[in-house]
Amino acid sequence: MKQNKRQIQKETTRKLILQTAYEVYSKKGFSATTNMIAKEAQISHGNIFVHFPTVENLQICLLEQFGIDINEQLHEMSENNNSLEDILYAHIEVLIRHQDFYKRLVSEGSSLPEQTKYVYISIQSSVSFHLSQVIETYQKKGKIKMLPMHFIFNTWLGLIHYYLSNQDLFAPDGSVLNRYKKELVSNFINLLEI
Amino acid sequence: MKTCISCGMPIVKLEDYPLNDETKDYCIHCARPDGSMQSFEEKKESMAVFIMKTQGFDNLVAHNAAKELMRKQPAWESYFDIADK
Repeated sequence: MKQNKRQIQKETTRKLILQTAYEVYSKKGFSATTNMIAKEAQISHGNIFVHFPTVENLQICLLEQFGIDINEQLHEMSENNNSLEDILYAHIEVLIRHQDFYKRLVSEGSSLPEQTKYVYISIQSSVSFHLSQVIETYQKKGKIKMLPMHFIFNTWLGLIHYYLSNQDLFAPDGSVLNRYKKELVSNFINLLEI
Repeated sequence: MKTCISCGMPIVKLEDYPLNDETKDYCIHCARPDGSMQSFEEKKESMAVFIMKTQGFDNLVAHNAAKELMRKQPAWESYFDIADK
């Protein structure tokens, strides 16, 4: 019983560290220190390393959890949605929920540990899975151009990432995806339609 | 909600199960036509092909990514335990 209580406490602290790291990295970028995270979480600096032996380990665990959350949310939102418009909106809505963190991931991803690259691929694979199912159906019905799936997906992702990376130019108040989602979705579909 | 032990995809609808068999812990995309689960090599290959088709990655990168994505899944734990030793 005593041990269970300790285990619960351990798990709670672990979650607190991950949630705080998510918030701190979203605001300050991945160069933020573990000292900043500890201060924000109101725990001792050493406590972080009880749960995560290294900064790399913390970042990998955080990214893995982020990947799981994104995949689940996307799956949930695209459930029973069969139109291309629905899938594209579902993708944008999930990104809006995590906009600051995702933007950091896109712009600073190359500075993160090698293993996080695979989490990033996993996230994009989940998106491309949902999108490819709809695209293939539309292509079979002759509703959209017979462009290769990867080209359609990379064009969509490139568009989203360009707007996110240049948020200060498109929406200085920070709500770039919210502000442009209708325009992005409708014009992307127009480009594909026959 | 169940999660596929082979690829990690959420299994929600009846159609997500192989041959609509809800007793299975893996999804339709990880099953062979007869409903049995794909082998490690079969899954790695199908996942790499999927990554190349939908994201256009280099062949070697796609195969490495497929292997790394499988590393996290319960179905392949023992494979990596042996491979890492």
